[in-house]
Amino acid sequence: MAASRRIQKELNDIRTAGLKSFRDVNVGENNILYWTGLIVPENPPFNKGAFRIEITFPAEYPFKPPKIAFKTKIYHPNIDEKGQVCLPIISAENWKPATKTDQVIQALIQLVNDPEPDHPLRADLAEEYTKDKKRFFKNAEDYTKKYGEKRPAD
Amino acid sequence: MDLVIHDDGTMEVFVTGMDLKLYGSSQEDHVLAPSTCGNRFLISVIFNMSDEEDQADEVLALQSIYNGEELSCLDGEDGLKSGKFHAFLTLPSGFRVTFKTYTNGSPSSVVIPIEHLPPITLSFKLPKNYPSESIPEYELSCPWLTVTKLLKICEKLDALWNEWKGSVILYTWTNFLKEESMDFIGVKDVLDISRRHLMELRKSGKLDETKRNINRRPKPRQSVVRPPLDPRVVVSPLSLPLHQFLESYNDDRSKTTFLRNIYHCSICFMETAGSNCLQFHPCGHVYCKQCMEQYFTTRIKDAMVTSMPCPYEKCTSEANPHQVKDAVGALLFNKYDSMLLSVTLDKMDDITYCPRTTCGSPVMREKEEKMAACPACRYVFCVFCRRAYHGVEFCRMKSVEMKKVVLEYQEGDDAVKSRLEKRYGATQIRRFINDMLSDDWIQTNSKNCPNCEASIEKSDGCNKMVCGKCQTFFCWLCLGVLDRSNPYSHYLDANSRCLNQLFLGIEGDPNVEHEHDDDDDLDEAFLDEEGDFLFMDDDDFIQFV
Repeated sequence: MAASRRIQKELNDIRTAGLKSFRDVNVGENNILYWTGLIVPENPPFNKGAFRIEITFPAEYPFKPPKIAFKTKIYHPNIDEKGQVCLPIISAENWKPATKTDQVIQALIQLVNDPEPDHPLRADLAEEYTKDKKRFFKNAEDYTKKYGEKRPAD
Repeated sequence: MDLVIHDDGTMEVFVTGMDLKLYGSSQEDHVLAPSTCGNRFLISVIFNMSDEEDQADEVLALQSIYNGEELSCLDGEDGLKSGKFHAFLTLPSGFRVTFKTYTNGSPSSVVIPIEHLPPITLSFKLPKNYPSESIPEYELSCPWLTVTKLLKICEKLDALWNEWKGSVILYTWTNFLKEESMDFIGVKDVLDISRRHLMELRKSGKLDETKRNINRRPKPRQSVVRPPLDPRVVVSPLSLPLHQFLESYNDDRSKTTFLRNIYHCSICFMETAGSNCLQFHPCGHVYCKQCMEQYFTTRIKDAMVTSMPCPYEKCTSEANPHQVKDAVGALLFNKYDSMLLSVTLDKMDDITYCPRTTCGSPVMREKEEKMAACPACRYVFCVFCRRAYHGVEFCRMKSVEMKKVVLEYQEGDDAVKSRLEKRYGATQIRRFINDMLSDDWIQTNSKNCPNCEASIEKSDGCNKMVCGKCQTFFCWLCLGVLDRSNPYSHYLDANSRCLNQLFLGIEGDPNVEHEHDDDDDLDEAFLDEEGDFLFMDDDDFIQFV
């Protein structure tokens, strides 16, 4: 299958690159179309923890985009309670097959670090983010400490 | 071992030891002149290589350096070696050809990005006594170099020969042409062909408009000495203006180089030969055809036909229809083509389709005009109901069709809504919706006349009804036919099940006697036997809706 060959290559590249903010990449047993990994944001308020995500590749990959979901709860205007994330780069209408998973992850990390309150999935958090940033930061930090995964030592 | 070469062509080899052998010479005419000098032998070897052998060696060497496209050699019938060398220049990235052109007398600059220029061609013929005595005969040609520039290059080649006289020169020349000629003639990353263009305009008589402009300039002094014509400079006329010629050469050359190259497909991550690849323009991104087939197919099947963008992130280049066809095959392409056409036409306010199923051609329509005529089958139809044109009458449409449109409209997003509005007209659709609502209303609120089955709505008044169609009197409650002479007895008869129910179901106080005559009971709306809704509007028209 063409998809798995490319995914395998992308996986190798990502593992070799050894990104600081995306690590712990694991692949589903007997299923290379399912990945999990740990997002380690650098910007406050999310830099108090780490977030587990899952990436699911469709069988038609790369002609159809991968899907990303957060397994760890996160207090973020662009990520809803179910862990769904609205990332334009992997939306059906914007998806470009030459886009690599690495770029998708970079876009995701960017979004986590700098929320985009103009296109929120959680309007309440977006409003808080724009109107009362201090409170948002406080809430998000508490939330991250409470639910976030432990950040890797190095 | 020591080796000394003397000016007269002799060579001395100093070898230590007794076992002296001479290797590496096929010559018979070398002279061994051993002499003793202490315990060393001194040997003078005189090489007297013939011109013929020099030439053969040189040609052999050149052929191993250049490929068949660059160099072709042949032995002529006169026994002389000749050949052609095409110097394909490596242009810096961003190289461009520019020229000034004149539209309506005012000059404007044209810039053409170019990756490949036609080669500078050197034709040569080696005289018998080359290289010992004579310079090779040669001719130089290049479509984009001026005679002056070509002459300058000739002078340079001559100078090179004079510098190396007596030894083979071809490689020095070819190398100069290929690697240094651009620097030599002072072209870096722009080639300005304005003068040539002006000449072409003048020749083709298109200069009239620009004459005023040109005349304003001081005329160049006639004393400019034209360089003498050198037979070695060959100028052959072009069939196209130079800039067009260069552009088309560049395209052709790009194509051939493309086919030869190997590309990395950033979709499947495999290396593929250019001949099995597809390139987007103007971005130049390359993908293998296999991936492109899947890419286009996926998009067509998902109805994302409005654009076929380059698969590179954020790249806005588009595949052209020919590329799509080439990748997906004629069958799927036809589907894509018709989808694309209908999507595109849907975006145009002034296009509709011929309603005849056997025709279906796109038809131009005037805005605000209900009538359209198909140019293919001559059918004249109403753009709203798509039946034969019916003048000032409103559209008659089957309720099923109407429902479909209304459902699509109500569930569709803004894009769908505006498309449908364009196709059927906003007013028309609003009317459909109202009609549909009334259809539903009739379903739930109307009853059929016990005599003629006409659908009847009770708008007001008591339960004694008169059918607007057959004038039958009947009871709204039990749908029984009433006695024409005394219809109210039905509500007074103790045996009737509708006893005292003349005003049942009427809002307000049932005990308030309504003054009524038969006209009050005449319903405002009813349906005829075909199920068509008869409707009385404010203008007192009775219409089929």
